Order: sequence, then structure tokens, then C-alpha cells
Amino acid sequence: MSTTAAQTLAGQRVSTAGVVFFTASAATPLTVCAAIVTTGLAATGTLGLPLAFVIIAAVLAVFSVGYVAMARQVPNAGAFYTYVSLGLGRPAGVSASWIALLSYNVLQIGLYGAIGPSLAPLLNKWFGLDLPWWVIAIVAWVVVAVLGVRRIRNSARVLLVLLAAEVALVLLYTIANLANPAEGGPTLSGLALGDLLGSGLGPLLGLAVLGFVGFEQSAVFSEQASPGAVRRATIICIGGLCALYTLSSWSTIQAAGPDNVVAAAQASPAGVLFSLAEQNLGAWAAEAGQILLVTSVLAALISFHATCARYTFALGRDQVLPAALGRTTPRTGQPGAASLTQSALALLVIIAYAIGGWDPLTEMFYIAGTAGALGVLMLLAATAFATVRFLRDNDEDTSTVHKVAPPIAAIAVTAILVLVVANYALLLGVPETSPLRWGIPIAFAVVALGGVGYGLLLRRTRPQVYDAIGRGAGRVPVGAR
Amino acid sequence: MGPVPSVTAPQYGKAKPALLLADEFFLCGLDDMTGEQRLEPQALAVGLAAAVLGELMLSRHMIIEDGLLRVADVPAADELQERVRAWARKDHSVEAAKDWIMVLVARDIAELVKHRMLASGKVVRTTRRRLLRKPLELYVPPSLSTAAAAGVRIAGNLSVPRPLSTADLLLAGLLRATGRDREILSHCEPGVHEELERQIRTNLWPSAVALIDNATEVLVTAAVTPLF
Repeated sequence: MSTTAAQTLAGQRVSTAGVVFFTASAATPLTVCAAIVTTGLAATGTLGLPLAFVIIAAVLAVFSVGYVAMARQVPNAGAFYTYVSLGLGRPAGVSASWIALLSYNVLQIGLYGAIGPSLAPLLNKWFGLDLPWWVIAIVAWVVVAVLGVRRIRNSARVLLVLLAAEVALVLLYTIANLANPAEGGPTLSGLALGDLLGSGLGPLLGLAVLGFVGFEQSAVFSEQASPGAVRRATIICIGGLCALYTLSSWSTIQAAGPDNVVAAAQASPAGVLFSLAEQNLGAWAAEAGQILLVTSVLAALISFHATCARYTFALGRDQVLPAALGRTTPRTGQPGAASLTQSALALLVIIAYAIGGWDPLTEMFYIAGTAGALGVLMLLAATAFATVRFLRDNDEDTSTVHKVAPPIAAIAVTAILVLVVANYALLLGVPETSPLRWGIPIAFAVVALGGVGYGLLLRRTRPQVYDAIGRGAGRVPVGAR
Repeated sequence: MGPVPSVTAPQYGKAKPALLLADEFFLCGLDDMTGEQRLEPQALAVGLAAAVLGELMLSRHMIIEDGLLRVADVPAADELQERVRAWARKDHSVEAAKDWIMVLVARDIAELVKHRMLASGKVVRTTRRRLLRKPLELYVPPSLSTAAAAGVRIAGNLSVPRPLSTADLLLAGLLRATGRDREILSHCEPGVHEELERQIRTNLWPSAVALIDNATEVLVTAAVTPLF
């Protein structure tokens, strides 16, 4: 054999471009620009979102220093959960795992609320069909559930083309929006500090975090790609998404007019971006965007489904959840039981919303998205503190950046979390008296405390399981699993 | 890599037939009704790679120490084993056992094992035509009951329960890593899984346990890594 074993291994590695592409498609840029930005404008009624994206990107870039450094040193199957276990102790790790499961499931299931309203107008236009949203959601559910238990190769090119089309389209919209600003020409509205400060600060930062959810997926490749590739890919993704989101949301405000955009968003949250495109570029551009939004939501559904299945699988392996969930299916090599469990859960929620007659976009997608963002923020905060503790003892790189970045990130993320919780009603777009305003944060707190409690219970009743938490397969004696 | 520590020299002269764990593993993956391979290619390849390393461990040519593969400088009898042993002995660019499993997978260990089985007459190659699809290439033993033999033996012994032989225990551990154990032990009492775990924990030597763990970790990583 002319090649060395190291070369053979290197040939199997995922490249920087591969990690960037996967991570960016997990963040689903068009869904963020077309659905989250506009529903966010409608719910919060303030314009500071473009600047919020910039601030969050800066915080996440600082956060990623410690995050990527830690990802190199620990097994990755559980991601956040593993990091928190190692950094803050196993009870905190179990707690993080419960929060992660809840958040990613909520995010994934919430997306089923977005696919109906985004596909329905197209079906109506093309075929004159008038389907209820839940029929479309269930069709999407079947696709996601079937793909979830299979090992799909060669879908990469399809996803790559879709992602490239999404990014190109958002940029095209941005240029068209800036070329056709509302009366008074382009202003700094949206990027001015004044738009961000005030009670809207927390919610806007929370929404911006929601936009970036998915960036953390880059660490999944810490074993398959070279450490440099993961670091580069994370920074490229955060930087690229930041530029895209900021430009897109700012140009939307400019085109609709700073005074009218909130009213327009409230009138039709899913339609603002496309009606502007239709006005500026013609009907074809709006239609292309609507088609890509459907595929973007579908890609997001598949991506978050895989994340949920991975978490469930990792927890099943560590026996924090039933061990059956921690097994792969021999015929596919995929975590089949974990995937099916997530699908079953999603179906129940879709059916419940269909029977309850609630609005899919505002009451399912947006509420779930903001709740998920709260959970992800909690995870980011816990992980940031975990990286501080872990890297203090284990970091090979002793440069100043590695010393300073993790504590700054921990403080910044915690501050954002506090701001989000303090103004959560505004983020949800509900009055202060709504039960959701405290219900959702309290639910997350209860789940977090429940996780800690369960971790402590495991320590007393099943010490073997407790010892194995967050250590990965190769580091545990077989019997301990 | 320095001098190889604590590897006992293989015993020469005793013309014991080489125990071919990888062949047994391959046969255990076959459906004993249709002869189709039930393990998906990645799981099969990882299992076979670990099984070939397992063969070299059973013949005391290799150990795993702190996750690293240590190789004795004594040729192995079997041609495939010797090829793998020589790779690992001469090439120090990769040392971790987990990485070596992946290297063997990348070097098409599954094909090499199939060729070894073909050459020794343990399997024959047939193709099965399928409606509207590419013909299926099968490597089947002349009698399909051979394929089931190891599984039946393992299931029987675990049900009693009776200690498995070292090779069977390692085989069972690798089958469990790939998830194939559920099929093989499907008609047994649920207790056999705990019995298997207990035997692995108490009866296998640390290198073999480490091999099973490493194979498991490679498969878990594959399962949780998105494909694109």
C-alpha cells in the first residue's frame, strides 16, 4: 500500500467546505429571513433586529472559541450534553440533556406549523387546491419520518443546490429592496442603537439567537474533520449568516418603510418579504422565493429531526433514557428507535393542533420557535460556563484568546438570557398577563431542575450508569453501559 | 513506537487451525433463509475490521493498550491477518485502535474477507436477479445452516447459561456492537443480554473488551454523523 494509514484516514475527512455547507443548511437562512424576521417584527413591533443579529454574531463568535476548543477533546455524540457533563458535573449534564431534548423537539415540531402556510398559497395558485395546513404538515411528516430511519447518501448535491439558491435569492431580494427603498430613501433605521435599546432589547436578541440556531452543529464533525476545519467553518458560518441576516432584515425595513413595516408584518407575517419581491422584481421572484421557502422548511425539519434523534440516541446509550433508544438498526446503521420516537411525538402535536384549531404560524411555529430559542440560550449559557471550567484544566492552547474568550462568552450569554426572560411577553407577542409569558420559562426551569434531580437520583440508585454519563463509548468499560 | 510491551510470543508448532473470527462474523450477518447480508455495509465493514484485529489478538499478535494498537513482530499464519499485521506494524502514522478500524474500513476490509472466504471455499458467489433493480451479489455458504451455526451456538450457551468460548464471546461482543445480537438472540429469554454483558465483563481480557468498545464507538460516531 503506497499511502500511509494517516493518509487513508485523511482521505475520509470532511472538508471545511463540507462542514460550512452542512452547518449553514442546518441554520436554514431563508426560513429565518422570510418567516422569523417578519413574524418577529410583527410580534415585537420594534426595528432593532438587524443590529441584534450583529451583536449576537459577535457573542457567538466569542463563544465558539471555547466551544470548538472543547469539541476537539470530548466525544461528540451528545454535543451540549457531553460538554456540560464534563464541565459542570453530571447532574448538570443530565439537566442540559433534558433541556436540549425539549428545545430541539420544540423547534423541530414548531417547523411543521410553518410548512403548511408556506405551501398552501402555491397549491392554491397552481392547482386551485385549498388544503388545510395540517394535511400538508402530515405529508411533510411522512417524508421526514421515512428519511429519518434511512441512511441517505448523495442527497448532498440536492441540498447544496437548494442552499445556494436560497442564499442567492435572499441577496437578490436585498439588492432589489435597497434599489427600491420606501419614501425618504435608505435610512439607518434598524441598525441604529436607539432601535435596539429599551424593553425590546431582550426579545430582539432572543430572536437573533433563534436565527443562528444550527451553527452549533459544526462541532458534530469534530472527529470527522480536522480541528482547523471545524474552527474555520464555525467562524465562516457565523460571519456569513450574520451578513446575510443583517442585510436582508435591514433592507426589508428600508423597502417597506420604517414606519409601515411593522403594520405590514402584522397584516401578513409570512408574506412581507415576498410581496416586496413581487413589487420590486416581479411575480416570478416571489414565486421562486415561496418554493424555496417550502424546501428550506423541509430541509430544516429533516436537519432538526436528525439532531433530536442524535440526542435521544446519545441519552439512550448512556441509559439516561431507556436503553432501547440507544441502539442502531442493523439494516441501516441509523438510530432507528430514537428517530421513530421523535416522529411519533411530532405527529401527536400536529394532530393536537389540528383538532384544537390553533393557528399554525403564530401559535405553533412562532411560539415554538421562541420557546426553543429560550431553551437553546439556556444550553448556550450552561455550555459557556462548562467550557470555562473544562478548558481551565484541559486546554492545550494557552493563548490569551483561549483564556479570555470563554468567560466573556459566559457572561454575555447569561446576560442575554436574563434580558430575554425579563421581556419574554414581548418576544412572544402576547400581553404580560398571558399564561405563556411565565408558563414557558417556568416549564424550562422545571425541566432543568428535574434533570438535576434525576442526575442525583442516578448517582444514588444506579452509580454505574451515573459514572458513564457523558463519557462516550470508548471510554467506558463495556459493563458500565 | 518503542519496543512492544507485554505481547506474549505466539506459540509455533502447534498446528491449530487458525480461528477466523471475521469469517464467522460475516456468516452471522447473513439471513439464514435468503442468504442476504443483513448488516448494512458500514456496520459490516466496521465489524469485519474489528474481527480481523480480534483474530490477531486471539493469536496474540496484537493488544490494545490505552486505546493504542500494539503489534508483535512475529508473522501471522493467515495471509490476510499477516497483511493487516504488517500494515499496523510498519505504519506508525496511526496508532489508535479506533483509527485503525477506520483505516481497515477505508481499505475495503470487507472485500478482503470475502475473498479469503471464497478462496477457502467457505462461501460461493452467486447473483440473484431482481425485478427492475441491479442484480444482487451474494456470498453464501454452500449450506445456509452453516451461517446460522455460530449464532445458534452463542444463543444456546447464553440461554443455559454456560460460559462462551473466548472467540465466541468476542464474536458476540462485536455482533452486539453492530446491533445484530438482537436478531441472533431474538428467541431467547431477555436475560441473555445481561448474561452476555456479564460474561464479557468477567471473562474477556482487557484488550478484547477495548476492541469491542472501539468498534462500538466507531459505529456510534457513524450513526450520529450526518451524511452528505
